[in-house]
Amino acid sequence: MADFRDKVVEELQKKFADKVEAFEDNTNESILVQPVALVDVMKELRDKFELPLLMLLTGVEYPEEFLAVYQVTSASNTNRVNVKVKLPKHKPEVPSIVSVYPAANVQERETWDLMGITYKGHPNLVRILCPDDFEGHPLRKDFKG
Amino acid sequence: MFGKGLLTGLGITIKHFGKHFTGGAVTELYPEEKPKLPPRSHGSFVLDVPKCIACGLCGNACPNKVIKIDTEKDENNKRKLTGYKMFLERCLFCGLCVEACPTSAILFSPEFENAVYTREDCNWDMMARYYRSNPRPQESGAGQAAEE
Amino acid sequence: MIKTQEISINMGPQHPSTHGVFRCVLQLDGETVTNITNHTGYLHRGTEKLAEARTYTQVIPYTDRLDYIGAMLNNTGYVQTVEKLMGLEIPERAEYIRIILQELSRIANHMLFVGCYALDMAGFTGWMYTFRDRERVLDMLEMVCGSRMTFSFMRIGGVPEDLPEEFFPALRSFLDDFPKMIEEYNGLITGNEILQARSKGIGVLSKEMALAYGVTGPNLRASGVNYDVRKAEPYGIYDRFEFDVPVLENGDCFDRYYIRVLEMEQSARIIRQALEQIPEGPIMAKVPKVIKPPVGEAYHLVEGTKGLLGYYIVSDGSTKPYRLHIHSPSFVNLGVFPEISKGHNIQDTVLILASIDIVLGEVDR
Repeated sequence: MADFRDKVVEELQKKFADKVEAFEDNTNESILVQPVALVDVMKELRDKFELPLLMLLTGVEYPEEFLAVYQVTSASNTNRVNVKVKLPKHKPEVPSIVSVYPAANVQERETWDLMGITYKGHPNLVRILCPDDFEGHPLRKDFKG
Repeated sequence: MFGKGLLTGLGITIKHFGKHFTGGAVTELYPEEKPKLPPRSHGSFVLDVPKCIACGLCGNACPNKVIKIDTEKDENNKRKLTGYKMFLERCLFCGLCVEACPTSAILFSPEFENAVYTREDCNWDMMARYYRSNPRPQESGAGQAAEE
Repeated sequence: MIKTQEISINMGPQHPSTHGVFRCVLQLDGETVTNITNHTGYLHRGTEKLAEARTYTQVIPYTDRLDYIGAMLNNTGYVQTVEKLMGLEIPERAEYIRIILQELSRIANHMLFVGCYALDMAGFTGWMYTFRDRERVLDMLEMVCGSRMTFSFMRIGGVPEDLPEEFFPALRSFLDDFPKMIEEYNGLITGNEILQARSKGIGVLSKEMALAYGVTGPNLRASGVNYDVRKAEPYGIYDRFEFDVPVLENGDCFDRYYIRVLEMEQSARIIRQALEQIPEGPIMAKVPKVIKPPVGEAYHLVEGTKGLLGYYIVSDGSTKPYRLHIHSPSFVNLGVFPEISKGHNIQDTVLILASIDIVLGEVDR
């Protein structure tokens, strides 16, 4: 797994320089991407590395930051990449990838609804699971029901 | 030929026609005939009170805090069960409490007709239920608490 | 002067063919659908938030309530994710028990799908036959787990109980009758010309579109993509069994229906092999009493009944999951429903929705 990730990072760094780097965690499949380069990186992953399936889109709240997590997988072998984007706590905002992976449409709405990460450029960023007049984002750690 | 598939389907239903009269019916006449459920069925709970050591593991294992146990220390400083309530309205019937019990005091039973009229009736007093079918021990304490 | 006007109609949330509490607003031009807006969330219970307040073991019963038609696969997906996080190896016999129960659960789900697909076309007879047989599967699962739908049977490190004695003869006789059941479905439902006329060429989902919209499972394979995690990246012990992955090319409603009939046959094939190979031995690995996975994260995909079911767990080293995200196939597959329904008649949208095979417990979580 780590081999494929390292290959991806090497190739991507040629084009995006320091906007992409390997992200060290226990999976050895993760790369860290700067928000500005996210859409282009996703396009590259889909077309060049043949990872057409978006199999995970979510957000995790850590004490110091938000992490937007994506996973793209191949539809024929075991290749896969976790894409992670660090977002500041006060303004979790990341470009939408709906233009690259239409599957992100509903999942970005869900993550915005529950976690409160704003997806810039999403065509219809409204609540999907909670009622329309709901206040707050339930999956945040400081949410009180 | 259009309609051949329809005729095949009709043939299959005709083959089953009359099975009800020859004893091949698959439906059951509930509630006149009660189904015989397998012994592991998660129908309802029974508590074997003498077996219970009041350790509270069942309550800790429960994801929804269904089980509420009252205990008291007797003269030998041994913990003793004085009340065992189950709030079945939030029970998931997952069986984690049954699994956690070290003495197999709380068990599932295939008895499944648990419908009641009021919400309060969902709160089962497991000790009272046990003593309804078993003779009450002579020395007081456990029995009295269950009556409340 | 005749004027035409588009009208909007609510389908759901209490509509029998939305298979649960799902509402969609149909934009209609006469009888032709021009646009659909999905409204989900009526069954939202916040499983992911609830999990953060429960220990790893206590989350298992909640996973039942996601895809309650094939709950065994949800259980397995979750416990395998935790096992991956902890690096646990589980005993051989437990693996085999898991395979048998998973595939039985898949058969039960597909039987329900096949029956309900016919029912959505007012084909009541076919529904009767699939439900008669699904009953037998549920009876067998009840013998093992005690429940008919919400099993909570998998545990982190194995399975809680061994298969009972009476399970094996019941399963063998079911497998013996199984080819006859499929024959009946094919005669009653698949071969029915009315069903074929109504579902062939309806709701075509192209290969490219299926991949772009993240559609997985039988729906993806009906569009001609040969991708099944059980083959592509075998989890558990799926690599020990011989089975085919059925792939159909057209991607219309009929193919999405028929692929499930074919998949049932493959599931039965896996069960037959597992039944032959199942060894004796322990059913539970050595697991600490208090489950505390190391700090880290794990994402694990299993081939659920509706598509790829993923659990993403972030652990902070405590007894409770720091974050649990459920990637539910129904939720993602539903996203493509408006796209493939455009331009069809209103009664065909019912069919298209049925053919996607959603379950609202999983959509709303």
